[in-house]
Amino acid sequence: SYCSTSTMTIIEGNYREVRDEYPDIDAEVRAILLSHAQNGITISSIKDEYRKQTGNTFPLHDNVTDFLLTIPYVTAECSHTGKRIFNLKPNKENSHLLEMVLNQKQRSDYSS
Amino acid sequence: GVVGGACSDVKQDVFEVNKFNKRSKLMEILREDANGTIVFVETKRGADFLASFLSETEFPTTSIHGDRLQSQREQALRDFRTGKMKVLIATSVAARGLDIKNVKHVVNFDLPNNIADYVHRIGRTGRVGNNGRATSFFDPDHDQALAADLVNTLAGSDQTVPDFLRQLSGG
Repeated sequence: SYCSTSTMTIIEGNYREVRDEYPDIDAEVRAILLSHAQNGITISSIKDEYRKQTGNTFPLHDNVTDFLLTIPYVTAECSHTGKRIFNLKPNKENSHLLEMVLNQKQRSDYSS
Repeated sequence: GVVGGACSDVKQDVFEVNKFNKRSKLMEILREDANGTIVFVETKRGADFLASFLSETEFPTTSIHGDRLQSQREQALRDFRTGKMKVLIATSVAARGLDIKNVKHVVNFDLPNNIADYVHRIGRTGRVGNNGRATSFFDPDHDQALAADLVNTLAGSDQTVPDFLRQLSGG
């Protein structure tokens, strides 16, 4: 319908603007997911971590799941408690790091 | 050099860099020559974030920190020594006790909170008659307490003391 088409257009346009303004955002998000890969990470923690690592507020407020799933290698799952947890598949540049994180000592908390 | 002091055959540079400008400053420095660079950072997650970002953008990078198993630390060190990984990101604690010598360039992305650790870190470069290089990012919002000792160490090893640092140290 006309309505859903125009919504799609607006969303895609926003993502393009986000990527124009934050050209490193895909690599930054993957780096956050990689450093939390043992347990995965929620959207609110991704936002906190993004601010901690870059000094900027995460540039999206709505449709964050849709945006994250336009970033190559990003995964999402609904946990048994219903929480939406994001994680990462390896690529050829970061697989040596992801493998180390997944097999390192298990962290008991979510602190830095 | 002076016993217990920093060797004068290590060229030491200190730049005034605010927390969130450190990453772009590091990339600028690595673009000149990334090979054999060890970068010291404060947190474990910060080490992995930076290693991932650098690896995906421009420089194959590995990392060592306190959550890594001994075998993982040894593997990372091996990858760095053979040049498979140009850059090694390390937290202080993890680097302690590891045999990391003859490094071409030490970068203090985050400075330690005492001068003894600074001298120890830069001692990893410039051995066996080779000139080494150490570059430090001084964040005025975080590193103020180190300013005076850093000025003394630089002056005592024939290095140029930057004006901003002399002013911050109150001299």
